[in-house]
Amino acid sequence: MIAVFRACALGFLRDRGGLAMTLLLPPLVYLLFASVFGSSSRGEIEASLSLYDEAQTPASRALEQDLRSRLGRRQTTEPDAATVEAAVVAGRADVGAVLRPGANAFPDIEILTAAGREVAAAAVAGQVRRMAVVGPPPPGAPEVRIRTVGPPGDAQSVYYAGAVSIMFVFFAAMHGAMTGLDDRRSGLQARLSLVAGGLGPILAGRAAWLTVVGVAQSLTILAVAAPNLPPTQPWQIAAWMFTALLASVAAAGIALAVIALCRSRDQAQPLSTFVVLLMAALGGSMAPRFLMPDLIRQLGWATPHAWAIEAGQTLLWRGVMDKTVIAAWAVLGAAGIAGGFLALRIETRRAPV
Amino acid sequence: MPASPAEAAPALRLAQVHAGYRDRPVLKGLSLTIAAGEAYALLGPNGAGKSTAARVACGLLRPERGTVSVGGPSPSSSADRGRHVGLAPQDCALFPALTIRENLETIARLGSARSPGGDRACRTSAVEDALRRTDCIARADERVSSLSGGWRRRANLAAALVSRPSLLVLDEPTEGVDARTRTNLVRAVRDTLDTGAGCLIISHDAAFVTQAADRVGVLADGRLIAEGPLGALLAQTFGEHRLLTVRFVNRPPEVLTRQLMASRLESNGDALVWRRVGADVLDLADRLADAIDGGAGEMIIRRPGLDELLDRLLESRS
Repeated sequence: MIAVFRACALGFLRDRGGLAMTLLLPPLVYLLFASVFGSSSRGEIEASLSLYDEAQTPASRALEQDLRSRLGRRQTTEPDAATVEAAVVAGRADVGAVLRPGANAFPDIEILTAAGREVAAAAVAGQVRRMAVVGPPPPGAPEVRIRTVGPPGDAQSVYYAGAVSIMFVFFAAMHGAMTGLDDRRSGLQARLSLVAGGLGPILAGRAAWLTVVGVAQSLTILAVAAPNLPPTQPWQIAAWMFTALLASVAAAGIALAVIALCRSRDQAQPLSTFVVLLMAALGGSMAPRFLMPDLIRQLGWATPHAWAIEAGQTLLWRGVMDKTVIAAWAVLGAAGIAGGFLALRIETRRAPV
Repeated sequence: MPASPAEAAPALRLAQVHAGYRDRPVLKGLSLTIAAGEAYALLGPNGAGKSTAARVACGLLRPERGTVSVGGPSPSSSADRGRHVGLAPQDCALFPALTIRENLETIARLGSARSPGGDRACRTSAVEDALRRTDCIARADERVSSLSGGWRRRANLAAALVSRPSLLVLDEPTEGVDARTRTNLVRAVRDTLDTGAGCLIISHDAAFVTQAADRVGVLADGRLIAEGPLGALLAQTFGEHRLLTVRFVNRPPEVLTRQLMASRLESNGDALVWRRVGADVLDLADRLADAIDGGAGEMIIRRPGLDELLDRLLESRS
């Protein structure tokens, strides 16, 4: 295993073009994504809403009913305002709404949003304002104001640190795993598996190397993003790096499995590109998931990207270590192990040893 | 001192091996034995099952029936068998970005991970030994990607030797090499046989097989149709017959063509090369000499070789 790892490392270090692409392109794209998507999200947004009706007036109840019928299960009703704020900060809801007793027939509406989700808050505020004035026009109009809750800091930077990291970790893993096709074609894989007594150590060595490359990529992005991050404790950085490690493990396992399915580079290149782009899009690497339709958002949880990004947000921005992070670690680790075993099974069936 | 072939366990024994891919049977009851210190060339037309036999010998393909043993009694698994085998695949199966030495060290490290006794000194010694046997020392610290085809072939063989195998399996080891490299590879193989290893050669290179192999086996449709020392097979098949080859630079005149056909020489199709194997070819050459000379042709008479042997055996079988 160590021998294959060392061979992979030497090959990587000697391919200067590949080295530059692997370590320089990700932070560049991160800067690009953060600047483009950070300020230009537009259009209809299917945001989830957490609501507390403090006013308990006929108008506020009617508004709550109306919201529920429009948003369906995307709207939850909470017992108090603090729970709404906690749901927004924790990411369980994109936006919160607290209906307070107003001076006229309408409740005063306070929209709660977290940094980086102002677009969703503005969209919800607009919807609520329109809904509140439907029906016979009463005197006055609802007062709607938006308040940003949660920790300070540039949440977008934290988001894209995770989003771009995981996307490039997958790109690099697929690219690296493709060397296995060359090794298989030339007979090198057969030669090594004879000496090592099976394909296990060969694939383990490759997976270890791909994981190291992934962690290195994540570190370069973290270094570039660091000035924009909220104040962080060492444990947060350590936990983020552990998340990056597990995300790299997941990428390595899945990449080895995808490449094991292919017989040639001609097959592997389009397939791996498709898989990487699909997972990146669904998982929120290309645009924040709150901008996506609800169905796509739910599908996103099938990708390691969504879990890695969520864990990064929780650790670096919210500054907590909760069950979301633990679940993400479990999912990422399991995806990597499952991918690795699947790759081993496919490769062994292809060339039984 | 390695044990003599008669004393030592065979390097490879295949007994009634049936193997193939999915529903396509390739080997149909193949049996062969390679003694320790012996080089055995498995020959035959494309698709006869040579590479499949090599894969079975290495443990890369499980036989459906039959037994395979390498370096003694049958090991418990094909994976165990693999550690006794040094494989030189048809392509250059090396890490291109690494030097020859680094490639050999990588393979030695992988091997030593399975052998608790394989320490660093042992590995270094094995690497240097493989480099020396293949005359690769001069280029050992050059990257494989920068080497010529001939040097890559040497490096490919060196990588097969580094685990000090009981059985060396060479799949087309001389493809694209010049005569000097071929001689070098023959020497490396013969040198390795002296350590007691056996060698299975899959090759279409008659010159290499003639120089390197102690015995040949001819495979057709998954079955061995002839086996023995090359000289014995040639003597048995051709006796005192000789091969007459007539070559022309340009197509010979019609009269001469008819004369060659009447003398039962066979053309390769374009009428530029004519051949006949027989006991009377010396007399025949005498009779045709003037005509061929007039047609600007040349005649060669020699003993039939490996190519003719294969042609004859496969012809007689069909």
